[in-house]
Amino acid sequence: METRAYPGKFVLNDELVEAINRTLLTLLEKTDARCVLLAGADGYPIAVQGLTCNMDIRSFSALAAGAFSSTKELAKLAGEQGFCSQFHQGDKHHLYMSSVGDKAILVVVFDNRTTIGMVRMFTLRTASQLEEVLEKTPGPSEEALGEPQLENLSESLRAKIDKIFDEK
Amino acid sequence: MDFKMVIDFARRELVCKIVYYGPTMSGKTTNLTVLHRKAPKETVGRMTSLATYGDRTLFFDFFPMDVGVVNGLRIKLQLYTVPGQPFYVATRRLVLNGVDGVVFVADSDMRRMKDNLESLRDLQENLASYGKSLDTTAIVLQYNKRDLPSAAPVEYMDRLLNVTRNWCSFESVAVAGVGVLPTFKKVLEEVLQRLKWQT
Ligand SMILES: Nc1nc2c(ncn2[C@@H]2O[C@H](COP(=O)(O)OP(=O)(O)OP(=O)(O)O)[C@@H](O)[C@H]2O)c(=O)[nH]1
Ligand SMILES: [Mg+2]
Repeated sequence: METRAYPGKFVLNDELVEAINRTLLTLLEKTDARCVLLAGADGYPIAVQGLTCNMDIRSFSALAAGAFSSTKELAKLAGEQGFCSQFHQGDKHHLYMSSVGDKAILVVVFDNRTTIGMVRMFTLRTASQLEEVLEKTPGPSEEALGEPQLENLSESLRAKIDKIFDEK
Repeated sequence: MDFKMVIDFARRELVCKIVYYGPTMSGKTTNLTVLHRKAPKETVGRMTSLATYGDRTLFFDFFPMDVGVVNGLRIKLQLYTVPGQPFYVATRRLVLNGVDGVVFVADSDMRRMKDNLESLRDLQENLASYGKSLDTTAIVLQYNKRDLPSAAPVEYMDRLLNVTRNWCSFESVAVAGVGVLPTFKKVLEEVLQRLKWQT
């Protein structure tokens, strides 16, 4: 089977997911934040650590990525390459976001137990570590795409969707 | 620039991003609302709508859907709309980041043909900024608002908008829920066919 890379796409394997989770956990402990999240530039959550309570992670990710990329465009219009980080201050909860290369964003939700200085320092450090980790993501390899049943996937999905919507 | 996971191996997941595109007021948000309402609660997440006062979309509408396990893969969908007003070209481009499939919702109103064409051209340009094109992307056409007395004939719209001449097209009255599901199913099929073709 020939492996043609799906443009710009990549595969996460167990090893990488573990590395990402470890890195996020360290950041969480060092900053004393409430939670930390790594989201793809397309808004899909990759990993999360900490107290997420009943936060809707998928919406949170999509909105964070939207806000981040929107600010990046603002930067360009202002003659900047891009803002690599953003801080949103609330009453009790604050948000710190940093880009991870151009592939992902790192979001830290924290409260007044810690300080923006601490959060900024460790988040920026973690972002560059994660950038290295994501560099290692392999393109869709033969084994990666070979293992799951792509055969008849379209038909199977169709049947599943029909069932979900219960259409005759 | 473009960044997307095909299959997340640790979780055996396939994530597809579907974007509803088209001129303003064509019915993109309506399509998403209908899908969200028709889908069983346990399969979908909350629908987020970033809209201006009234029903014009400002940034995007979004909801995630978990289809469940198919052929050993957990399939997750991310459904988005773009804001159709010409002014919001920059936000449309952002939403297209990592797109796998597009539903182009055209307005059947005879007076909206120019807007339909402009939106299609805008889609082409925005895809190009990610190194994609109308030919390489999974696209399905939807001719919405077929209930309007001023609706243009389907053959006419096909000649005007079906650039490649082989996109599938569907007639719909989204506001009444007609044609929404067939369009949705077709775009998924197109996305998966491409995935297969790419391997
Ligand atoms: N007659 C008719 N009206 C429709 C139909 N589908 C949607 N509408 C109406 O058209 C208007 C615009 O629909 P939306 O779904 O908000 O349009 P949109 O494409 O999201 O518009 P933007 O967010 O500005 O890009 C609403 O008032 C809908 O009720 C249809 O099939 N027939
Ligand atoms: Mg809308």
